[in-house]
Amino acid sequence: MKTPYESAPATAFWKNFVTGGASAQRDEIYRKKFNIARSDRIATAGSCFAQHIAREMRKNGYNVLDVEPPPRGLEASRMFDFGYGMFSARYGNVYTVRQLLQLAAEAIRGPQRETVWEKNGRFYDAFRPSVEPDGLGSRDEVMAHRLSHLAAVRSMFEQMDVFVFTLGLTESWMTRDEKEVYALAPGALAGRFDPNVYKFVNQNMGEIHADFLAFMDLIGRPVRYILTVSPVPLTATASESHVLLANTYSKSVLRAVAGQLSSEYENIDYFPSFEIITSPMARGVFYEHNMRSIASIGVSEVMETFFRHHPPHVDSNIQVDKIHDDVGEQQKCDEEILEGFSK
Amino acid sequence: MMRNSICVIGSSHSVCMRKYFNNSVIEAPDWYVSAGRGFLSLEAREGQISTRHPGAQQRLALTYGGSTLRIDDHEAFFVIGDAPRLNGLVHVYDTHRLFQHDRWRSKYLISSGCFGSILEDDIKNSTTFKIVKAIRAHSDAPVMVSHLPLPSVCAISAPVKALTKATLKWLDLARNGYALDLLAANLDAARAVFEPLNVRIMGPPAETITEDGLCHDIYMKTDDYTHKNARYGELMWRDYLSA
Repeated sequence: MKTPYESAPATAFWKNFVTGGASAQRDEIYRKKFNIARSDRIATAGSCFAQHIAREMRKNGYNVLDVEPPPRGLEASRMFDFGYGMFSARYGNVYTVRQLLQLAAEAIRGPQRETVWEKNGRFYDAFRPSVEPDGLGSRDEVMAHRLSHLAAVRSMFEQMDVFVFTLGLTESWMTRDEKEVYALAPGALAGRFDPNVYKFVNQNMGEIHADFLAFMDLIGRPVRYILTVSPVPLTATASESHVLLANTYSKSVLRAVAGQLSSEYENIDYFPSFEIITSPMARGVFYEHNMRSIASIGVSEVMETFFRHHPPHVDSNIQVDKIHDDVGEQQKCDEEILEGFSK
Repeated sequence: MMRNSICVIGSSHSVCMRKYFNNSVIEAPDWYVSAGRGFLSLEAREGQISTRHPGAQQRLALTYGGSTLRIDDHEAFFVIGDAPRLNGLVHVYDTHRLFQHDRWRSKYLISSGCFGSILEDDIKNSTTFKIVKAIRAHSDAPVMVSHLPLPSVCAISAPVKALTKATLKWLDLARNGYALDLLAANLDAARAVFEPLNVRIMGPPAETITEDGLCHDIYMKTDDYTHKNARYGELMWRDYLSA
C-alpha cells in the first residue's frame, strides 16, 4: 500500500461527493447506529429546527411523545403561540445544552428556582417566556404552571426510549453565579436586563460536553440519543464578534461536541442535518431569502435522508392525530425576537 | 311587504321569545328562525341571508314570510343562534383547568389567554358570527347577540340519555363551582369577538341564573332541559330593549 488513502472508500473523497449528486449524499452521508422501532417512545427538544424533525417523525408513523397536548378547540394556527405541538412538551426552544440540563434537573429533582419575569403587569416563566404570549395573572400562577410543566417533562424523561435533540446555540444569558440560564436575554420578551444580575456566556466545547454528560447522568436510564446541529444561523450575537464569525464559532463548537459524543458513546448518534443544509453542494438553495430560515425544500432533503435510513412506519397503527397534523409547516424561533433590536 | 324595524334571527333558542309574543298584546318583531341544521345552513351574500336547505327554507317562509332576508329591510337585529354557547368551554374542561379552579388534579393547566383564544375561535366558527359579519358588511344597524341559555337545574336528576354531552359536562362544572366563572369567560370572549364589529353581547337574564351557574326550573320548557319557556323569552326581550 502506497498510502492509506488507497483503501479509503469512495465517500472519503470530496470529488466523488461532488459528482455523486443528491441521491449519493442521502445514501452515504449518514450511517445509523441503531434502529428506531415503531413502539419506541421518542422525545424531541432543541432549537427551532428540531420542530421540523418532531413534525415529520409524527407524520411518518413514529411514536413521538406529547406530554402536554393542546386543548381541544385550539386552532392549529394558534398552537405554537402557546408552545403546543412544537416539541414533546411545552418548553419552547431549548437552544443550549445548559438549558437542557437545567430543565432536566428541575424536572427530576424538583423545582429549585422561582424566577418570574414581569412586563406590563403580566407575569412570565423566565425559562420559557414565549409559551404564554400575554403572560399570566400572578407569580403564583406562573409557578403553578411551571410545576405542572415540570411534572409533565419528568414523565417524558421517564418514558422516552429515544431522545432527539438539536443543538442550537453556544451563547446564552445566565445569572452572574451561573445558577440560572435563560432561553432569551432578560428584557427581550419580558423582565428587565440588569448587568449586575445577568451576564453573557459563550460556552466552549468542554463545558457543553460536560453539560451533556451531566444530562445523561440525570436521565439515568438506557436511552438512545440522536443529536443534530441546527443549520439555522444566529439571529444576533452578544459576543462583540461579527455575527458571521460568532455563528461559525457557535456551530463549529456544537458540531464538534456532537461528533465527540457520538464517537464516545454507542447510544449517541449524530444525524448530519447541518451538513446537508450548509454543504457547498447545496449552493445555499436550502435557505430562504433571509439566508437564515430553512426553506421547505431543505427540510424535505434532510428528512428524506433521515427516512432513507430510518424508514417510515407506514404500516404503523400509530395514527397521526389531527391536532398534530394540522400544525403544518409552522415554526417558532424565540431567538428571532432579537431581530427587532437590530439597528 | 312592510317589515318591522327589528328582526330576530334565530335558532330553536329564540322560540321562547316568540312564545312570549304569542301570549302578549305587544307587536312582535320580524322572525327569521330555523332550528338546528336549518340555522347552521344559513348563508349570506350580497346583502341577503338565505338557505339552500329545503327544510329551513320552509321554516323561514313560515316564520318570516319569505325564504330570503334582505338586510337593508331592517333597522335592528337580535341574533340568538349557535354562539356563544357552552360547547367550546366544556370540551376544553375535559382535559384542562384554569389556575383558579384546579391546580394539582389530573388535568393540564391552561392559561386564561389560551382558554380565551379557544372560546373566541369557537365563536368565530359559528353561523352566528357569519351572519353578524354579513349584517355589518351591509348595515350600521344595531345588532345584539345573545348567549345561549344555561341547562335547567332539574337536569341534575334527569336520565343521562336525555341530556346532551355538553349539558352533562356543564352540570359537572356547576357541581364543582366552576360554571359561573366559565360563563363570564365565555361572555368576555364573545365581547372580544363582537365588539370590534360594534355588536353588543347579552348574557342569560340575570334572574334566571342560579348561584351554581344553571337556569332556574321556572324558565324551563316542558320536558326540555335546554330550551326555555315564554317567561324566559320575556326577560330576554326586556334585556334586549334595555341594552
